[in-house]
Formats: sequence, structure tokens, C-alpha cells
Amino acid sequence: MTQLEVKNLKKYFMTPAGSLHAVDDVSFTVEKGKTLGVVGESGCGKSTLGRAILALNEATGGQVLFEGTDVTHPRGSVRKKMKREMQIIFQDPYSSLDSRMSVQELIAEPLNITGIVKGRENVRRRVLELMDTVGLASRYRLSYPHELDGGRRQRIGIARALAVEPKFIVCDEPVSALDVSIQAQILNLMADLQKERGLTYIFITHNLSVVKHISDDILVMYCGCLAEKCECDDLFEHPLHPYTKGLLSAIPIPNLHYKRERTLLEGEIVSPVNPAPGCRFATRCPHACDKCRAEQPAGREVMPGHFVACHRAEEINGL
Amino acid sequence: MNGVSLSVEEGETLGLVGETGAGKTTTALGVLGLIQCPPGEYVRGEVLYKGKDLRKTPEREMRQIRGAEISMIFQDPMTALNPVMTVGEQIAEAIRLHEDCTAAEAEKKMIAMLEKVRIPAGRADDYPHQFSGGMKQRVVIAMALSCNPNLIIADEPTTALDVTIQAQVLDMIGRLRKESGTSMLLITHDLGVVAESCQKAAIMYAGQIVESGTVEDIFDRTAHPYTQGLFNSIPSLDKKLERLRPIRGQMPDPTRLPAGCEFAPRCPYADEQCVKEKPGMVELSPGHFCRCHHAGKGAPLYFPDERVNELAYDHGLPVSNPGNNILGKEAGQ
Amino acid sequence: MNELDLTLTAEAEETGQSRFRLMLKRFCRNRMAVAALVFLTLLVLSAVFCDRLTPYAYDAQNLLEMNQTPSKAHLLGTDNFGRDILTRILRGARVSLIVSVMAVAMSTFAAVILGAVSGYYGGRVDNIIMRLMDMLGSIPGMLLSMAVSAALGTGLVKTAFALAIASVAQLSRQLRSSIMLMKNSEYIEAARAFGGSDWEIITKHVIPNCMAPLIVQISLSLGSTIMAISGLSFLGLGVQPPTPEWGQMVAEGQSFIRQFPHIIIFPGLAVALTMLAFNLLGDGLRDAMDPKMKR
Repeated sequence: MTQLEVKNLKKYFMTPAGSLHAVDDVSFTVEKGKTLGVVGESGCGKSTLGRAILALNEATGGQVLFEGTDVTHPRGSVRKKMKREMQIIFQDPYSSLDSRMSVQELIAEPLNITGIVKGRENVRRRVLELMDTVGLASRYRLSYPHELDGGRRQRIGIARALAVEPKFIVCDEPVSALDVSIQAQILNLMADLQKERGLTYIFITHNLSVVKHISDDILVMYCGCLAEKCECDDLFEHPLHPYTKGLLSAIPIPNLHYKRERTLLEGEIVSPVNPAPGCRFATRCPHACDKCRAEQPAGREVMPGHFVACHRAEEINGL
Repeated sequence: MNGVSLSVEEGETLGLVGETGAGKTTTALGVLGLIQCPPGEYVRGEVLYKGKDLRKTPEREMRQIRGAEISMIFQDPMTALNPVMTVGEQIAEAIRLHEDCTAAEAEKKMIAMLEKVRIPAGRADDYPHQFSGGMKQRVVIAMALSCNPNLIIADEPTTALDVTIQAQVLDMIGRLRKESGTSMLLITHDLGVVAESCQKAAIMYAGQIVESGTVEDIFDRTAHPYTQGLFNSIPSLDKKLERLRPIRGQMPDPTRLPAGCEFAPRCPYADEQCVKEKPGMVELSPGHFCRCHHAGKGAPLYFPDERVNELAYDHGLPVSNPGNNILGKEAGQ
Repeated sequence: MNELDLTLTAEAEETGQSRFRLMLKRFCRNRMAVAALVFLTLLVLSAVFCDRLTPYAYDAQNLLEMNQTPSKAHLLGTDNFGRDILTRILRGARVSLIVSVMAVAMSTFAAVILGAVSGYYGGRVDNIIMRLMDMLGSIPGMLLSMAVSAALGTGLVKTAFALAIASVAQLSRQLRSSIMLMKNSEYIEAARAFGGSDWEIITKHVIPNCMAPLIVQISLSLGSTIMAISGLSFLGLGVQPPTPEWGQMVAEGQSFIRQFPHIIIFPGLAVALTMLAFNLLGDGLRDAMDPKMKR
């Protein structure tokens, strides 16, 4: 069952230098209970995409459908319902927590705002339940975020998102600020919660090994546009887009015997402010031709379930 | 930082790996004698560079060594570059500080350096803010290499960069290092980076080296439980794992280190001896050192569910028994 | 008990404390701030009980004891009408404190509303409010207070109002900038993700998080307002004789500065010390309230 459908989503920001195309014409669907990993380098618009889906930054164009309801510009009761069903976990577990509030107050905040749990005693009990769910010992109830380490702070962030019992969570780089040993604890927790509660995730990250571990499908973004979207294993085994290939070969792998061909991507990411027509990757692409520089490629289903935005996908992959 | 011993041979790269707060950067600054005293204090030990103890070298001579013989690349290129000087001026200045040459010669050398790091010479008159992150880091590298140092200390040189840019920069550092035969101390938290660009590695935990050796020793014959835990925590790209097996608990507070082995509270093998007694360095095979009482007895690891463990750890309960259902008790409180 | 347990217990004790007690502990560690607080408390107490603290009335003239230097009978000496200077300084504290508290309360109230609205909503509202504040701010504070107080006449409330107007611009601009910084922080976004309304967000997150800079600012403006009251009174626009006020005491004593400097030194010292105390208190409060400054 399709839980979330994003159609031609656009988000532009007006900057003094011109219009910044943070997200440009991105479409995809996410099935219920699955995880869609969104990968890309800094500034590729992946976080903006997450925020546009949740209407934290309302989209400039396109549509977001959640269980068939249009939530692109939610108002009134749709907004209220949506804020309960769609949640977000932030990257920086420090800045996303008000440092003046104790753990208990922080977890109680969403309960109080949405009013799903009423009465002081009930709120208190629910907070303890949530702390238990995310593996936070109850004695931290009165601590402040700055007294806890990054892993525990991120557990608070997860407890807050879970408090309103959402069906869908945008995870915006939830483990990027954490050390590997703590990162693994949080990833396991998130996987457990998904299994227990049938949650749907959009998992935004720049870390490819993390995204491979947790995702069912992966969407690769480059400079605001979709580059490639397909099943997780498919992407790692048969990447079709030249950017994906470069990205995969750039990850340092902690294994001395894992040999692979390296295709180093030259050059830098182009600016998303007033982008020139044509494929945004053309400046770095080893296969770029005149058509690539003139016309922006749209996402095409090259193989069943495998979408690529590249004019020459078939040609360069011998399909 | 506590009792750290490292050695970098000529022309090789040593990777110093550890998590936040393990003392990696402090070690690097210690080598260059840049730790602020107070609050820092060198208690004892020596830093031998080509057989000379840098700790006893007078500050004036030290300044000559820093930059000319040992140079440093920092994590954040923005803090290493002066925003009101053009990058060309900055590189030229670095050259003239350590080399006796005219302005014209320095300029010529600066342009050669820029070309080495693949920045067009025409951009020498631009200011740092006109460069992207990857290019800024390349400028910093050009500055560090401009005086043909014998040793480069690179402190997380690519952590702030994107993967594709990181690959470019690492590739370039490796190439330049090979060309000039420079040794390097590469500080990182990424084992992947170590696998790709180092010959030797040392793992730091709570201010101590817990394991060191060649990369083959570390990656293929992992001995220390902490190193094993690090490997188990990284999601693998070539194998599909259902669950990760992270190290339980957190890094100890450096002001309140445990009495015995620093890793004992998180270690699945810890016993009586580990809690009471600090382990010494054991040489397992020539050049492969490990700081563990149980070194070399590597039993298959089993890390129980960390969710249970986090709570057990918090309560100071024995954590070796995964069947201990503390979750149930916890809820009732 | 092993090492691990010990550290955990210590941590639990530390975190188990209430926020207020932690704050108090941190504040008490700052000796200068505590000294300032003690000084100000004594000042407030003596302002309240000034009639009973000295055997003299503040307006009792005694022409036999004119211009006396400090002695046992008159600890700080007497002025040119033979009035006890200590009594008049204590009585003057009452006036200064009342007026400055009123003035700062008025300006803070206005500034919180203006700053919060313009900082949080931005756009056109922000533009209008800030241009108005620019207009106010472009007139030197003292000149503005003098003009307002000349127009309104003298009296405690009117003087306070005149002083409040002069400090509104700066205070609201400061609040606006700290709110604008905070508006984009992730925890505001997080609250919005839960569907929190603007009102909830402003009252629960925005204003409480501005409290630390605001309280420091309040403490500092109390100090500078005391200075401004003295200035106004010195010029004859503030508090009218015979009610004593520090600035006015300095003004009265200025013609005797060569022969009897103590007449103006002591009121001047009172202004300086009070300002210093408010500034030190402000600094101490800021350090104590910001949990990130811990240790």
C-alpha cells in the first residue's frame, strides 16, 4: 500500500543572488512500513525535501499525498491530523532540543501540544513509557540535554517523535552527529521500532553504508534533482547513473580486501542558484554530450522499479 | 591523554583512529608542542623527531620545525585560512616564513604549489570565501606542503567534506605524499579512510592507544575488543546484516576514568582482573601491540541487545547476562 | 561499590537537583555578583527603612551644622543647609530605585511585545516596528528624556516614562535579534512539527530562551537608568527639591566643590556603586542562568 506519494515537488528559495532551486521536480512513492533512503551530498536539497514533505517549509510547486490526502499546504483539521501522523527526527540532537527543558518536559511537549494525553499523571506515565521504549533510564527524567551525551540526546529526539504515535517519520541525518559505536545503537533502535510499530521512514543521510543498512529503496539526489531511485540492493549492484557510480566508488570501505574500480569524480557541485538548463551533473559527468548540456533529463523507469534521470542511461550501461 | 606511544617511519602513513574525545587531536598538538599550559600539562614523555627530543627543543627552534619540517592540516579549512588575504598571498607567506627567498621566487613557487593541488593559477588572487570547501582544503594542503615537510600531521582533513570531494582530496594527499616521500600522521574516525590510505594504524580509546600495528594486523587480525566493537558497529557495504552489534554504553568521562582497564565497563570479556588492574601493552606479533589482559584469546563476540544493556549499564547491574529483563522492571518505576 | 557505580551515583546526585538550586549554586560561586547582590539588598532595605535608620529627617535644615565634614554625629557630613548627607543619600536611593524600576518595567514590557512580534513574524510588521524604533533610537537618549520630561512636567511616573522611552528602542532591537536567531533553530522547528501554534511557541520557547539576555539587559538598564535619573535631576528636570535625589544633590553641591568636596563625592559614589552593582549582578545572573556555562 502506498503511504506517501510525492509528485513533481519543487521548493525554491529567493536569495539575493537569485532563485535557489533546492528541490526541483522530484517525484516518488513510499510504501507503508518501508524505508526510503535519500542520499546526496551537502546542499543537494535532501533536507529541504524532508521539510517540504512535512510542510515545515511549504513547497513552491507539486503535491504531497499522504494516504491519499493532499498535505502540501495543510490547513485546519488536515494540518492537525497530519502533525500527529507525520513526524521528524532531527540531525543535531543538541540544537533540536530546547536546552532549558528537562528530559521529562521535552518528551511531554508534543503530548501537551497535540493534547493526545490529558492529565498530569497520565502525561507523566506516558513519558516514562516512551523513555523506556527508546531505552532511556528513568533516572534521566530530570536531566537536561546538555548533561547527556549525543546518543542519549538522540534517544530523546526519537521519543519526542514517537510521542504522538506517528505512522510516518522523516529521519533527517539522525546518526550523522554520533560516533560509530553510538550510531549503531541508534540504528538498531530505529529498526526495532519500525518492526514493532510498522512505521514508514524517509531516512535522509549522506552516509551510504548507513543508508544501505536501513533502507528498502534508495533515492539519490544531485543538486536538487532526482538522479536515481530503485531498490537498495539493485542500486549498489547495478548503479545506472554516472553520479551514483562516482558516489559509490568514493566511499572509503573499512576492508583491506575489498577491491573495486575507482571512478574519481572531478570538479565541484554546480550552484543551485539560477541553474543553467541541461543536466546539473553535466559539468562533472564523464559521459556528458551536447544533449545533456541543453536539456534537463527527466526521471525515467529504465528497468522495472529502477528510475534514472540520465539521457544516456541505456547507452552507457549497455541496456 | 595518557601514556601514548606512536612511531611513524619515514615515508609511511600512520592512521590514528578514535571516537570523539579519545584524545586524537591532543596527541597531534602534543607532538607540535601546541597544547596550552595551563590547563594542559606535559607530565612526562618525549617526542623524538629524527632522534631529537622536540619536548626539550627551545621554542624558537620549534617554530622553525613547525611548518618547515612538520606541518599540520586541520579539520576545518576555514579556520586555517585568513579571510582577508588572498589564497596566493597566504601560500607565498608560508613559503617565505621558512625559506630564504625573494617575493618573486615565492610567487613562482606558490603558483607551482597551486597547480600541484589542481587549482588554476588564475585563482591565486581570490579570497578564501570564493572557494568551495574542497578547494579550501586543497589550499590548506598546498600551504602545508609548500615547504617540503618531512612529516605532515593531518587532523581529520576530510571530515568536513562530501564523499566525492573527500575521495578527490585523499587521492591528492596520497599522490603528493608518494611523490615527495613525506611521512604522515592521519587522524580520523573513519576506518574506511585508514584502510585506503594508511600502512599502519593505531586505535585510541580514552586517551590511550589500545591497539597498534600494520593495517593488516588491525583489519584482519583484530585483537582488542574495542577495535572489534568498532568494526561491528559499522554497517557493511558488502554484507547484509539484520542487526548491528554496537559497543554498549558510552565513553567514560575523562575526569573520572575507571580504576582498571578504561574499556572494562563496556567490554564483553571484562572480568575481575580488568576492573581492578590496568592492562599493559602486549606485543602479539612483531609490531602488533594490544592493551588488553585477554589479548590474543579472541573468542567469538556476542554483544547482547544494547537496548537492555543501556539500562543495565545505567543501573550498574551485571551486563553479561542478556536474559536479564531489566526493561520490565524499569517500566514499573 | 566499584568505580563505575560511584561515578553514576555522583552523576545522579548532580542531575537530580532542581534547576533553581543549580542556578543558585552557580550564582553563589561568583563572588563579585554575590557582593553586588548583598549591596543592592542593603540598598533596598535602607531605602525602605531610611526614616528609621538615622536620627535626622532628610529635609531638616540645621544652619549651625553647615558643610561639616564626616564625623561621628554625621557619618558622611552635612551639606550647605546643614542636612545630614547619609540620610539624604538613603532617602535618595528610594527615589532612584522606584523611578528606575518603573522605567525599566515600562520599557521591558513594550520591548518584549515589540521585539517578539517583529522578530518572530518578520516581513512588513518587522519593517514598520523597526523603522519606528530607528526613529526613536536616532535621538540621543538623554535629549529624548529631557524633551519628554520637559513636555510632560516633573513627577515620579512622568520621569520614569521619559526614561523608558529612551531605552525602548535599544532593548527591543536587542530582543528582536536574539529572537530572529532563535526562530530558525531546530527546536522551534520541532515544536512546529508537532503542530504547535505561534502563541505556544512564542510563550514556551521564544521568550523563555530570551530571558537570559533579557535579564542581563534589565539589570544593566537599571544601572544606566539610575545614571539617567541622576542626570535629569542634575539638570533640574527630574525629581524636584526638597525630595533628595543623588544627581540633584550633586547639582546642589557643585558650587562648593573646592571647599567641601564631600558634599558631591558621596552622592556621586552612590550613583557609581549602584551602577556597578547592577552590572555585576547582571553578569552573575547571565552566567548562572545559562546551563551551557556550567563548570
